[in-house]
Amino acid sequence: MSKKELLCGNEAISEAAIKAGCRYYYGYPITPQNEISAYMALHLPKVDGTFIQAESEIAAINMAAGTAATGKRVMTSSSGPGLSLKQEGLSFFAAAELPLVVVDAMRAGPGLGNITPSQADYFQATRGGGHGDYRQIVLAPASVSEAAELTRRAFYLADKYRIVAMLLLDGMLAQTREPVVINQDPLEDDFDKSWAVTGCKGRTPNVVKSLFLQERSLEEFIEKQLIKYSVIEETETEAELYHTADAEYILIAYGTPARMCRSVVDRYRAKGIKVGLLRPVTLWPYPSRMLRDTLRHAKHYLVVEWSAGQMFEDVRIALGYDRPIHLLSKLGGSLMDIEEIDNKLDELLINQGARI
Amino acid sequence: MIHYGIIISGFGGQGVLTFGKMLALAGMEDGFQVTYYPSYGAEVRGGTAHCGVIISDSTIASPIVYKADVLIAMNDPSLRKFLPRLKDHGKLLCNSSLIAPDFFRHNGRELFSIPATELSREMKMEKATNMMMAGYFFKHFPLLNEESFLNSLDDVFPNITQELKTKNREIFRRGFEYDPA
Repeated sequence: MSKKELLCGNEAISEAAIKAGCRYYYGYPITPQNEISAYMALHLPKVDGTFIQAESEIAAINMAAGTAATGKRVMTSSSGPGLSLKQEGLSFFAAAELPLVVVDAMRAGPGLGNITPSQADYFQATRGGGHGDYRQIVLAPASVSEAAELTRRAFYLADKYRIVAMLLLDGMLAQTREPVVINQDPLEDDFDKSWAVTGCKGRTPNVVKSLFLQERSLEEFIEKQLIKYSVIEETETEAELYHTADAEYILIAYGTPARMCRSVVDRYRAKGIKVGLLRPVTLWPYPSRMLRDTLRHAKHYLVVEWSAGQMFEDVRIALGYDRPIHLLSKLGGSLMDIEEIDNKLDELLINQGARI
Repeated sequence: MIHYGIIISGFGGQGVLTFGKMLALAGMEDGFQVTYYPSYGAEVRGGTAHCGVIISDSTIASPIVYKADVLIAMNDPSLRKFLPRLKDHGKLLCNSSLIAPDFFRHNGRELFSIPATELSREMKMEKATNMMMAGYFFKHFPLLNEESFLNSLDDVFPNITQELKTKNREIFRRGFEYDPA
């Protein structure tokens, strides 16, 4: 059992990655994720790992591709502008079916934007910022402990499905320090890696590539991926439900806004008002079926997110246009006060004729 | 229910972030839920720096200290900037070496002031102004165990010498014993 430490989200992810067997990290500096590079630079050499501060984000993702092709656990990280640069690489990872854990500590965009916390990379993360028909797993922690736990899971999922697993966290969670105990035991890690490029003396050479020139070969490859994606949707979708069973008002949020919403639920429940929270833990696959099949009963839905309404679209897709879905957003990295959630909720309650 | 939001502010180089981290570590050691959220990225030595620390006996919803129970201001610009975020009945702890005595500015909030920069300079270690403030803080806000706080020096400075540890403790003690009268 490790001891309790006071780590920020970035450090918890780094330590959890090392405990999960990651020995290779390549990155290029950008706020608010620099503690990952700093941590890896300090600690990877102690476990015979390799840390490289690459000359650019593009270099870092391609170094990661090289390591991934050998079947070793590898991680890279950045924030919005850097993730944009990595997108070509992520598309190539998808085409070559290479496992990778990538972290996006979101700051506000578009452009260089600013360095304050945001959730505006949701589209890029869940829709695939790179070209072509592909998916990546997206995990969204809401506390420092969960950031560590989901890092462990990300390495497991990446290897299990030979897919990119992204940890998507707002810059606030990346920077906040909280007590955390990092789990020592990696999840299952003895996956078949007979596809890896490890030196072919005595066997047929393996080829890792993203080019499919033969007639129908790309079509067949994508068809195979689609089956894999539907297995992931079937088995890996995860969300936290908090007081939703009888809820008349359901808040939907991920990351730091979700923990704010949780305290709102507690406060309104204490007043006898039936409020609940759906917190998606996986953003792809999104808990659409859960929303559609078991959470259709609410009178109103309030999506709380630090973007102009990106996750809002997934909620709309799941529930359809006939359900009253509202949005409380925070733009450009400005800070959201919990009172703003209360005020928005009060507005809905008053429209509904409730006394508050 | 215990739920304290503390804002520590000053200029870069005064040990504002270290002070906050040590408070959070002490809170953790004493069995509280804690969060520490720094201003990050654009800070430079001489510029403004601040952090928010929350110490609670229940789950902390947001690490942002919107309305502080205690504001620790280590220079004048940070007092001006963060005073609006101090609760009406909040407590204000000022470094009077760098803040002009202006009794209107704290608008009736309880004020504790200590010439922390001067006192730590007298003790030949101005960069431990934060420890001087911390000593004074612990005297007036006995929420956490002093030893938990002082022991956290080892966490924030893993290579600290015994000599420097002793010096920091002496400065903390001086702040604790400071009597403005």
